[in-house]
Order: sequence, then C-alpha cells, then structure tokens
Amino acid sequence: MALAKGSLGLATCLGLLLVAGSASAFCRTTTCDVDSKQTGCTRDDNMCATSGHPLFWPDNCSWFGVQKDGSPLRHITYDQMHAAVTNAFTKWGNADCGSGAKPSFALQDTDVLYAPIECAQREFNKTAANANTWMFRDTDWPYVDSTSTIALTTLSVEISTGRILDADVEINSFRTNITTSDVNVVADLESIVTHESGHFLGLAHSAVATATMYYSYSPSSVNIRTLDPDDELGICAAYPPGAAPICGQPEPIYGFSEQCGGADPVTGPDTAGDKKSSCAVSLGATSGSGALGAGVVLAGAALVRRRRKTM
Amino acid sequence: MPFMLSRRSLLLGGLTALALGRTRPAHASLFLPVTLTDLVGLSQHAVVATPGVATSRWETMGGRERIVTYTPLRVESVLDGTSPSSELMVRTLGGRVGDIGQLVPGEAPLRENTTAALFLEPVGSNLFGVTAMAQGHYQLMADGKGLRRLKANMISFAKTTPAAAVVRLDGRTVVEVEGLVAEEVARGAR
Repeated sequence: MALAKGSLGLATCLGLLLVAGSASAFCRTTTCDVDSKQTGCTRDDNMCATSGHPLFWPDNCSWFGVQKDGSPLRHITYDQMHAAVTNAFTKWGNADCGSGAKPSFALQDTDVLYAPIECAQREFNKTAANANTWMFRDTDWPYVDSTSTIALTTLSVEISTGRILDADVEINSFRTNITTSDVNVVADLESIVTHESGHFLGLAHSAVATATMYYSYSPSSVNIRTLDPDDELGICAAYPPGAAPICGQPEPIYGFSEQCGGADPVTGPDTAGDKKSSCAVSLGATSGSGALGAGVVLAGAALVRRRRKTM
Repeated sequence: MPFMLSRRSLLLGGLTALALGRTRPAHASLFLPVTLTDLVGLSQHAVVATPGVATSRWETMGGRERIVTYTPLRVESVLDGTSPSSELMVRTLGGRVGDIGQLVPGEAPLRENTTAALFLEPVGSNLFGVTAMAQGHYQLMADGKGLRRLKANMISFAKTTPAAAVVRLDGRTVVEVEGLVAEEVARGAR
C-alpha cells in the first residue's frame, strides 16, 4: 500500500505500523532477505519480507567511520564526505515519530573517537577487528553493473538473531559523477548517503516513489535529501521512541580497527572493560537532542585516546 | 541498496532537466531506473528460468572476501532469441555461510524453485550475474487466466519514467516480453 506524502498523520499511523509491517510501504530488512533458503519466509505485495528476524544494532547502538581519502577523482574531500554522512544520520535521528518523539538509536563517530578509516576496502573480518566504513571507489568497481550502480551497502549479520555485525558503504565514484553542489547536480552525494544510511540502520527499499528509501535515484535530483513521511514511519518502527540508548565504546565483533585486515585493533575483548562509558552519541530525541553532539563525541575521544596510550 | 543509474540515464536526466527549464518542486521525482534498452543491451541472455539449489561461500572480490552465492538456473525458455545452455550458473552478492549472512540490498532475490524472467550478463567463464541486479529479475506470477506475468521487485510506478525496464516489463506476459525484447534487439540495443 503506497502512502502518499503527507496523507497520513504519523501519530495516528505509527501504532498500527509498528505491528503491521505488511500494511505499510516502508520495509524493514529481515533475515529472510539475507538467507534465501530460510523456511517460512513470507512477503507482501511489494515483495517486502514480513517474517524473519528484523536486522538490528545491539542496544540500538552503532558506529561509523569515513575512509580518509575522500574522492580525489570527484574532488570530494574527506571532510565533505564526513559531513554528509553525519548529516544523513542526523536526519534519520530527527525523524518525527509523532508528538515530538524521535526514534531511539545512537551512533558513535569512530573518526572522532579514534581516527579516520585507513582501509580503503570493504571488508568483514570473521576473526579480526572491523570498522563500519563509508568509502569512495575511485579506481575500480568490482561488481556487476559498473555503470548502473551508484552505491552498495553490504550488511554482515548473524542469521540466528538478525544482529548486524558490520556495515560498509561503497560509493561508485569510479563510474559515477558524484556531486556535492546544489547546482549542476548529477549524482547528489547527500541524497546517496541519506539513502544508504537507511540501509545501514536496517531499512530495506520502500515502494513509495517519493521516499528516500525508494530503490532508484532520479538523476540531477536532490529531492531525497529530505526524508519522506514513509521514511519516518520506517525508522520509527525500527527504533521506537523511548529512553536514549546508553552505549559503550564501539565494539565490533573482535574489536575495532581502522586498518585493513583488522590490524592493530584499538578495542577488543582485552579493552572492553570500559563498556557503557560516556562516549555515546544519542540521536534519539527523548533527551531533547536530535543532533550529533560534537562535545560529547570529543569527550569520548579524549577518554579513548588516553586509554590507548597506556596500552 | 544500490542506487541504480545508467550513464545514459544520467545524460537523459540532465537533458530532461534542462529541457524542463524549471526547478522541480520538492519530492516531485523524475526517476530514471535502468531502461529496457540498457537492460537488453547489457545482457547476453534473457531467459525464463528456475533457480536450483544455491551454494554460498566466501570469495575474494575487489581484494577482500565477501559472501557470494552461486545458483544454477534451469532454463525453461529464452526471451531474446539467443541460445544459452539449458543450465546456467549465476553469481549474486550476499548469502549465508554458517550463521553469518551478508546482504546487499538491491541484489536480485533468486529463490529456489521460483521461476523468474532474468536478464543475465557475463561475469566470467560460463558464469553470469543478473544485469542491473534486482532490475533484471522478475518473478513470474499466474494471473486469473493462468497466464504467467512478470512481477518487478518492489516498485511503484507513480513517478517513474515510461522507459524504465521495470515499468515496461511489470505485469506483462512472457510472450509480450519476448516481443518487447525483440523490438529492442531490432533497434540495435545489442
């Protein structure tokens, strides 16, 4: 069922949609999307999975980093990319869940906590440290559809629970003219990043053509920089308003590393004693703050750096 | 998900924007997914086929390991007049190995014993990928008269371009699609 923009009041619909995914246009990613052999999977008319474990970040806490090189080919700096990703997550965190409530999830910026990501490869290390990395691919696009795919998000998950273990986003700057301006737009970075952020958070494609999570991008458009009510319904269903999550330091499986192959991890089983420290950055609005709090992040960074020096 | 966009579409989009000569209102979208011309042009085969038992494994791609899935297709018929083998092997991104799964939103959702119309491009020796990922995969659904019709993956048509493959193929019968593909080939899509 397609929900026209503005046709439904968020406050009215949210309660229904939280329990009736099949009646909505937004779509949450589940383990049925990951494992084609999983039995008992059902789908609605839009081919959205209505069974399986919805993908989730443990404790509604996640983290992200940006590869340090930016895109020299497209003249996009690391700072521009970092700002785009931060702004995108902030938009999702500021989604209107009705009556001023916001979705409840928290994100930590590992670039600030530790350092920008060195590794320029998408990877999930099964037995070593990891990072959730946003990166450009300037020199190759190693997948099918090098000319039609603008970006790919790869989610690594635990099938038995739906827990997200790792998320990496690759942007096809090799074949696509990614632009950052409001004029002479070709493939708009902010639009792309806002869309991929939705996948990062566990949303699948929406059937609503005006939604940011619609599967296709309109060339030269900046329309999907702004979330559609359908997007807001989706993120609010995935992260219902509630108490702001309390997150410890970023803890990917086997720890965090900004290096390829998980080398030189800065967190891990032997550094996990500081869980629930004060470096969480809440995007939930129950605390009244819907934006990334730089002061909070920097406080966390100082904390972690001191710890690292003593290792 | 991958955003899907052809270079041709980019150009067309830009030209269209110029031709319109106005700023589009917020949320009035001009979606240009992969066109049928592009889909046919990029594909070596277009077939109706049924996926068999898939096998997933870790494989190095782009310098790093990722999970990929190999799915044998039993070819039932061809849509484009080519002569593929009766069984084709398709590789898609993602899958499950043990309790770890990987997902690339937008990849073609091949399902065992679920017959589909597929547009396939070569990615290796006797190995294919689904062209334009989910935009090259159409499950077949029987209508009230028993005719099999193509079903696009999660698509709404309200604001999409008429040239989009998903627009032109969704809801069509297999015979109709054969005709559309033949037209594209005749026009020089390949």
